[in-house]
Amino acid sequence: MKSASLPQGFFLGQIPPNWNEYVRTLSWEDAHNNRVKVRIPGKHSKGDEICDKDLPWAIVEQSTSSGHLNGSSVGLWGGEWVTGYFLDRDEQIPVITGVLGVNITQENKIKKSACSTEFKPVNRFNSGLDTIATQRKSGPKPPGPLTEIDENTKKEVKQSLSSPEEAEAARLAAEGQTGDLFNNPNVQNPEEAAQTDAQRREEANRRVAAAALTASTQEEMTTDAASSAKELNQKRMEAAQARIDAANKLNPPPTPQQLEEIRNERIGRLGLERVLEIESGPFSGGYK
Amino acid sequence: MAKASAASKYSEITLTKDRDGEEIKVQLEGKTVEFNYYESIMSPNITANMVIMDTGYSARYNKKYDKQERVGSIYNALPLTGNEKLKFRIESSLGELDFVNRPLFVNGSTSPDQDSQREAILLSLFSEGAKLNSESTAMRKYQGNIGDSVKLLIKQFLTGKSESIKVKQENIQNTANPYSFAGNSKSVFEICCNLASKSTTEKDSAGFFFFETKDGFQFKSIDSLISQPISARYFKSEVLLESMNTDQNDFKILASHMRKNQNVLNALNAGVYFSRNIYFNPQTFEETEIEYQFTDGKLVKSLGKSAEAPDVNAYTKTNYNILDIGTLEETVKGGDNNDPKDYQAQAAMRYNILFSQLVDIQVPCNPNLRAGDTIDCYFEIITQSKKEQGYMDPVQSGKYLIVDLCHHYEPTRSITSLTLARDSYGLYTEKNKS
Repeated sequence: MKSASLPQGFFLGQIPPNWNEYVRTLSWEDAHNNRVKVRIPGKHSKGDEICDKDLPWAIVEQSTSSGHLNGSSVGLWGGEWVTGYFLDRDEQIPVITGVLGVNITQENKIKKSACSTEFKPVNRFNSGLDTIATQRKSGPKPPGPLTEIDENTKKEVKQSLSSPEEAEAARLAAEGQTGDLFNNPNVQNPEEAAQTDAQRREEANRRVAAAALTASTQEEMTTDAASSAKELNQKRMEAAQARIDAANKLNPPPTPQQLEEIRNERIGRLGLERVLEIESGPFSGGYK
Repeated sequence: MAKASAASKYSEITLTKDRDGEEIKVQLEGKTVEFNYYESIMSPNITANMVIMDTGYSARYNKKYDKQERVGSIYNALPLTGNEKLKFRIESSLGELDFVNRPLFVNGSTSPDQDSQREAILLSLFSEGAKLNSESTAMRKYQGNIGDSVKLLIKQFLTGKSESIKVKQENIQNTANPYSFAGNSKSVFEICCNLASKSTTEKDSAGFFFFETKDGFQFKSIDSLISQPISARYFKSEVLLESMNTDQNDFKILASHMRKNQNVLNALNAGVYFSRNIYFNPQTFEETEIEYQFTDGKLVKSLGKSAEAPDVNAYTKTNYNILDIGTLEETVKGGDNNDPKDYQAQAAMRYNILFSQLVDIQVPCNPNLRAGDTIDCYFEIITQSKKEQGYMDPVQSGKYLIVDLCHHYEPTRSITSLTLARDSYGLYTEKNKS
């Protein structure tokens, strides 16, 4: 069969849900080439003449940025439409070269297929896939946050801050961002910050990999990853607090007498009414 | 003249057309001036063509074209629009060609010679399998022994769709190797012909043929075809035996033409004698190179005494393959699917060596012959020595495989034209004496 639109030996196909080695919690020792199954219109049936399980495994070709130096997930989960070519003349060994952009609208999409997707649109969050932070704005809300800072921590941090400016500076410092880096001697060295960040990522990767290896089900893996993320957040906030304390030590907070002087200067500049308004606001801090 | 070369009798030759729900039958005895029937081991279906001379008294015109419903020639009165059925039985002294229960279908027709009183009509015909093949689309996954997959495909798309198509189980040979594959929306003939080149037998060389004869569809290994007993013994001599009562003249080669005797450069380019085969395993990223030589002794059986190979010092072709590691398995586990190391180079050698000699011969009509049969041919020796010591050439004579076959019928004679293939020389086979 010759395709009317694609060059001979090339194909456009859809990946069915539930058929990649990640969804099987990496339990397949023989897994290789990040393979996913692929259903190709014109070659494979729309109906159940050939079920998803009987479709060929397609090797996923990655960019050079996935070489030995890096390595990365192929990002294919199920439902995507992909393009590729066949490695053999008999067109039995497909290779996927690219994915067509995923439309994130979730309405009227199937989450899994019984035997064939029938080439219908497939929900992005199929086969137990949960959202990640960058996907929060779309799709249904996940049952529990994975990486977000919990409300208690936020509150504690907020109470420890003295002004919106300092809060912002602390936030930037906590996140390893440079902020007013070149003028403020109290801000952490960017190399150290990068190192901390790298260590943090490495630790996170290690934990996720460990969770993936030990977890027997997707739920366990997700739970492990979530608790791991919470621990990391806790550590991050502790580190932020330590940095703020260090900054306070170097540049101590103003005494009550100094505060009074600052207040008077403000009243002179802004007027009493405005100063009272600021003091009654949520971020009044030490100025109150 | 041999009895078998005499005119044959059309005991039945009927063209049937379904016209607006009515079955119109036209008897073509007396109108048929030529009939050619073709089989080939390279063709998955039978074909035929015939020439009819029509004087305009064959069929009535359809009322929607001619209100008077006059009689006319089948070309326009029937009219011939394709897909008409032709049932025929042609009897000659050595046997009959019977397609009464398995009619052929009209592919197309032309009228190359028309005048006011008559017209010549040329019909081309095909077997029903060809039509069903065009309508077939294999989607599903097939696995296990290749012979079983071929049986399943035939049942699914041919015998399951038409009662007139019959397949004998013994004509579909099982292979030594299993193979999993997806139909990929290909037709049944395309898949079966492709599978033939990937099939191996347990002890013999790789390489099968999928073809149709008057006995139905066949899926057989080259070695099983060449090792079967001969169907007939033919001789070539300038002398015609005196008595018309002897059937010896029925097995005389009327004409022969050596079409090909080796083509070394083509064979070298095809890597028949020495090839390099590279295999890449996408699971282990292992690259393997294997050199395959004719002298390795993988040619197990031959039609003659020995297959000759030129002295080749280096590989002349590189075959490159990516191994299929569990592509069609349900899990990612699984070994190599039909390892090409087992068949690829060997099949290339087997197919090419088989066709190293090709001879065209004409013999008195023998409808018992089929494509894929073997026959013994004895050619006269050209020598200044005495022929009393033996008149047969000891090199050219011997067992041949029928590659193409044509039974040709005319009002005055009937002959069978054959294209024969041979992989070796000499009268007797070493490893397979029949």
